[in-house]
Amino acid sequence: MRLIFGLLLILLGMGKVSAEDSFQALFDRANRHFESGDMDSAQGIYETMVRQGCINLAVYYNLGNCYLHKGDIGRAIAMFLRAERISPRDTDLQANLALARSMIGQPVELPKVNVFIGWIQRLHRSLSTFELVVSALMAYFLTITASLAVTIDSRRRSRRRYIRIAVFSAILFAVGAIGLGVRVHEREFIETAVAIQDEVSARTGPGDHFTEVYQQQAGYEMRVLRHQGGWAEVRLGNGFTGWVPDDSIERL
Amino acid sequence: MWIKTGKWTLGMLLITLLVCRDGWARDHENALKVTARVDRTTVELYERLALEVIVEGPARSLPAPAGLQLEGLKIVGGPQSSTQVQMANGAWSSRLSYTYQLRAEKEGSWTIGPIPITFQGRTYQSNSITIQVKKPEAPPAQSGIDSDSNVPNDRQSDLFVWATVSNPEPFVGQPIEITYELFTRIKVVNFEPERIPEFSGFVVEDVELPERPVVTNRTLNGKEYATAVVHRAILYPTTAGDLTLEPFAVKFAVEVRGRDPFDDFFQSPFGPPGRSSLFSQHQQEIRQSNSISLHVRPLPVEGKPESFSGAVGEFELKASAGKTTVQVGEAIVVEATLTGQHGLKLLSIPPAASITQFKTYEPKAGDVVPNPARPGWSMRTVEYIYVPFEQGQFEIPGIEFSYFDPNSSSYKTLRSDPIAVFINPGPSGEGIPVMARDQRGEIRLLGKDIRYIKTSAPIRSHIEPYRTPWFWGSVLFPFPVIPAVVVMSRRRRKMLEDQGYARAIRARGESTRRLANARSLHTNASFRECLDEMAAAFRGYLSDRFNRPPASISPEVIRDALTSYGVGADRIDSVLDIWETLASVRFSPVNPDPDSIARLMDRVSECLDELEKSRWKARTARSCRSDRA
Repeated sequence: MRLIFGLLLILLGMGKVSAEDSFQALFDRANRHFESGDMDSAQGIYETMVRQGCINLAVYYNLGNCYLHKGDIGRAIAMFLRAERISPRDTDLQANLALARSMIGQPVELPKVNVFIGWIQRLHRSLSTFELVVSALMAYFLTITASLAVTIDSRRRSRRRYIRIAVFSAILFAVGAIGLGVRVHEREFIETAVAIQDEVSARTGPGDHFTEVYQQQAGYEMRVLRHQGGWAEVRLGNGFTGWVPDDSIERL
Repeated sequence: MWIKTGKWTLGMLLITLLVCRDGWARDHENALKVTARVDRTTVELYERLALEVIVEGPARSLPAPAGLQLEGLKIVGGPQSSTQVQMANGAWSSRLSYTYQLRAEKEGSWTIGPIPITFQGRTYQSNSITIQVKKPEAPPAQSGIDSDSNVPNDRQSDLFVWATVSNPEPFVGQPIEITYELFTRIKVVNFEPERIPEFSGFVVEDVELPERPVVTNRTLNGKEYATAVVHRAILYPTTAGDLTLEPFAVKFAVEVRGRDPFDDFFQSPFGPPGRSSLFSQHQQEIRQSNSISLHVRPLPVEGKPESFSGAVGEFELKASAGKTTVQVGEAIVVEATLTGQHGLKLLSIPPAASITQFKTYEPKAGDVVPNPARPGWSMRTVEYIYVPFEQGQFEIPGIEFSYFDPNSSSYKTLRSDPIAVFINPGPSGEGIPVMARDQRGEIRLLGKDIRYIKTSAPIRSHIEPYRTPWFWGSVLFPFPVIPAVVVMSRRRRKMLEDQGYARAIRARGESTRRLANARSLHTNASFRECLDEMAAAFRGYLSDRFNRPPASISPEVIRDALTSYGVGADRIDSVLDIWETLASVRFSPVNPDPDSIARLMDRVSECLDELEKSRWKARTARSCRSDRA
């Protein structure tokens, strides 16, 4: 039984290593195409990698660069946002994302938020999921350890110190857990998308016969509320809601 | 005190600087520009030329040039002035033009200017111009008149156009000047080009002439002519070989002499049309110039530099950078100035040097302007922009420009000095700026450039951490660990607080250890020591279990204790039997039989196991606590 389990693990590991080797070779080839100016070939290989399930910062970033060079702002922003989910503070990524956003024809004007809330949102966005997980887990273990120390150690002075540590770490854990919970909620339960087509009419219902609400520009970032018959009901950052064709947006 | 004085001094210094700066700016804004230009720089003796003095400045009225000092030249007409005044953004600006007709009086080289102009208490000066006055050339032959011209024969010799070139055997690319000059003995009211030659095989650069033609009197074949330049151009041959310049046709409006007796009195070539005799009338005349044959020589193939792009003539090159210490992303502007006699407008701009750490932009060439330091020469400024990507110390290579010098019939290469630049780190998180030139040719920031792709990143597929087993293992790990730690800590505390409990817990372990020791002594044939160790194990177990000192253990104590703990009589008898056997064997004078010792050891071990398995263990512990209480 142990032997079978061990062999299974080895086979799974080999499979993963083999796939990563293959991705690395594809990535290197795409980079060579990009450096030689063959943007189409580079883009094709990066897209193949993404289709095959390669979720990687450099692949998303480079593919976004290909789109940006070709003026496909919508897809470029979509790729940069995917890369941002992996490493939100990457300076190259932030520079190119800002550049792509600045190229949107008519950018969406976002409503002003409270300074403190804005700061919290920026801080939350700047932390990667890995960092949120690690900080929450560290606070979690510190809370448990301090609590156990309170239980085990009978000395009054030590207990008092452990109680303080336990309370402090419990607060940290609560903050970390909320941050992580919000992040998991955003990733798993909220569908977001980016418009990839310019001058698409957002309508009041899922059909061309409905009244136009606003004109969608490539690069608009939006939340998808629901889908119906090839249409998606979306909401922009400024609160505008409308129905747009499914193929005019790229889901993240 | 010192600090206060220092602050006051610094403040005064700043105010002074601001005032000076403001004053300088105002002076700079109010500055006049005085330019002098002539229609040609080489004339024959007694020939006329036009001098134009242009005054430009930010005022509604501007002063006229005064104190025009001339040597070898004489003012014979003018000045004719024209004024342009305009207002933009609440500010006046004016442009005054004064045109003088000059005549060459002496042979030699004569300098006009600098012409001074005083404005608002300041004196401004124009550039100076050198005029070469030479002896008159031989008169053109009468064959220059086009015989096919559809005009009366008796008038052909009185009105014709003559073409001359500055060099009939130029090299390919070498500029030559072609001049079309009108010779007339009759009154010309007006003229206009009828057919301009195509000049195939040449690149043409027209030369601007004064609005009013400059008239010169010349004598040809004993006849007095009035002459004027009607067209002038710079030609750049593009192909080698024998080329012919087509005739230039001019349409004239001439006055036909009638029988007016006052004609001779008012007769004057190029006269205004207003004074026409009652008996005169205008007539159109068309004249074609002579054709000119040129022999264009090819440029030598040998010694042609790689940077040669077709410039032929004589040139000079200088380059400098405005700012040599910048931040990453900040543009460095290198300004190169090319100076030459002709061809600056048409020559290819030397390309910007390619540097790995810099982004380079297309150079911007300015207008061709007269070179104030070298009369007769022009200059053109070229701007090169370099935007550094990296910090450090670098060198911008010199700009290279090659040309063919027709005087020495050889190629020459000009190279400006390299420029050392220092690049400091720029603000992080910003992209490399993208510069571009707007419609006016000014550099402006378009935005940030696309940052380059990532090439060295290892490709491992990313998985959200909360979907991994290690995350859930870490989360669930404390759940079994916490109760275990709590139980262990309680047990440890109990052992510290209750000695009987601690002895009872440790009893079996201690006896097992001692029995193992006894077995090793048995193996080593130390039978007496083996028996002592076995007895110590048995007694120690019972004393720990009963929580009594070892010396107090006796058969009576054993029986009473085991009975009170509910152990069966058979078990009690077995324990007492072992107790007595051990005592008898240990204290017997006869040496014990090794086999019987081994069997006894097995019995002891089995007995202790049985006692351990029995339920009295728990009762022992409870009774120990009650005894202690």
